Amino acid sequence: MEIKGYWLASGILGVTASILRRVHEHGADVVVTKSIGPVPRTGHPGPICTESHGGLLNAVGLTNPGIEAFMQELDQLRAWHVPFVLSIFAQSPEEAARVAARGAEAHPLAIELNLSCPHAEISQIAHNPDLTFRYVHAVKDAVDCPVFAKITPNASDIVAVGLAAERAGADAVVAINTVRAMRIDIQQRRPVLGNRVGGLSGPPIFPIAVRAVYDLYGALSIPIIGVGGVTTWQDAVEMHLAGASAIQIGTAVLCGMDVFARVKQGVQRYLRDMGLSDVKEIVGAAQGD
Amino acid sequence: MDLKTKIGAPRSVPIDRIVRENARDVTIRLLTGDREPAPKPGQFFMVWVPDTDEIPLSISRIGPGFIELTVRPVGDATNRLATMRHGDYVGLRGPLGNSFTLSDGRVIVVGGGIGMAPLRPLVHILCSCSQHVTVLVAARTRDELLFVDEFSELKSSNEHLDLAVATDDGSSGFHGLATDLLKHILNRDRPDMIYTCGPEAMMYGVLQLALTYNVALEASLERYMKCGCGLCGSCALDNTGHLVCVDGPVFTQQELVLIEEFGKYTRDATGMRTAL
Repeated sequence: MEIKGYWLASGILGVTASILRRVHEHGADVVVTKSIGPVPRTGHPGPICTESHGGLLNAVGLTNPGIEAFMQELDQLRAWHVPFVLSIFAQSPEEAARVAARGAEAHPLAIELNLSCPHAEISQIAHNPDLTFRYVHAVKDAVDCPVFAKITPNASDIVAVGLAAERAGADAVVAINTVRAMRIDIQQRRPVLGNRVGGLSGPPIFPIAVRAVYDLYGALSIPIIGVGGVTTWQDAVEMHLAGASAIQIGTAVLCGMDVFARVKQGVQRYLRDMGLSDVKEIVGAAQGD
Repeated sequence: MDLKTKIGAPRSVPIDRIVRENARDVTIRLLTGDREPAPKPGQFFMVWVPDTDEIPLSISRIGPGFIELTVRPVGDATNRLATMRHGDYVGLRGPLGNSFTLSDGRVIVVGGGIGMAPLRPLVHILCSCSQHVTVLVAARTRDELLFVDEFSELKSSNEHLDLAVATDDGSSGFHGLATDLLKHILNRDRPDMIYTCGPEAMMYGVLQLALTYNVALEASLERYMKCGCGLCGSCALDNTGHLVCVDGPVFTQQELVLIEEFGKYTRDATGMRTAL
């Protein structure tokens, strides 16, 4: 698959075929499913989300019906010709390979390996280049479709993790996942989220994502899929300039599914005004020589 | 709308009082203060019950400086909520979701069990804007009827209001299902609008009657909900992809006939389909 365009990020909506089709019809070039694991999982107790400083803090907790039950939704997506990427998570490289192999039977465009949900047990994988290598390698061995590694800015060295994914054969890296965070209710004097800790998304993390994409682009030779707080076409242009070939949008979808069309049109207008014809001409253009 | 408003401007508010409504249900008054946007009938709040969970609850009264929520204790969060006291804090997000549209014609309001909760503020508003209001309060048994005394009192000062009661076991009012009584009413009176909330099997029956008698309808749906603001997708409906939390909870007859899962299945906390 060619890595380009404006996609629905994993974790937003994405748990049924019906809603994913609707997001695609509203302009998302590709939809990424919610992360699916080996077995049904209810996720964390509520509150699973709150607001913070213009962003969203969530600890949904990888709620999903398990890969077997989800196959029905994937088959439906395929029947409706909705271009989709399957996001998966697992507790071991072997388990990841099994979930990926089963999911690949539904012919996703690619499999996105969630190695970095900051409020679940799998949060530590993408903190460690070795672990990241083993997960990506196991999944690459198990499927023929492209494999993306979704990595986190919570790692001390995101570039080392990105390089490990590349060495293991990843076809792209997706950066970034949400940023580990907490809010405390001052009347109740306790953390707001049922899981206490969650992941921050939306506009407040945008500059963190730009930095991560910029650093990764400078070190890696595989494409970078940029994600993190993109809300406007200006954000998207900036993310492309940092090095993103494609861009995923999540939190901004809450304020309207038309965000994909608005961003796409804005970027096209920007390219035209600059006398350019293809977004490739600006990908990584801020890197300098 | 900005993200903070979409998420429901999270805050904590104190409980003023808790009143028992019948053998099962309680009404909780929360001191919310008067803030914009003011809630509308049909909307809901995400209510964070400390140490337990956060759940969607529809608004059963909109007052000056307060709102009320009427709850049937059936799970961890509702049971805990029902035992809380004056001065205890709960978290609140909202008001969320859409609301009933107000008809100025002749209307029938059909509530089953705890489904009467979101219809209560609607009845009060309709009394001042509709030509004629018939309220049909239904429950399995007399001890589970809601707001019958309140509506009786309202009726004594409002000649445009009629009240009908149905119980499955015949312990009060009409002996039979809400839909059986509704059919009787529709045979002698053709309203402009039916509003309904209650068990989905009942609402599905009410929709069939509305279609047969060619009457407009609005129904308030319930689905497993985690975020309440269009983030998690738990409450997405097949095959339209409507989200109960932001596109609903109130759906029109035109929407309901397109929602294939209505009256057939729902989804559990993991997103897996379960028959109704």
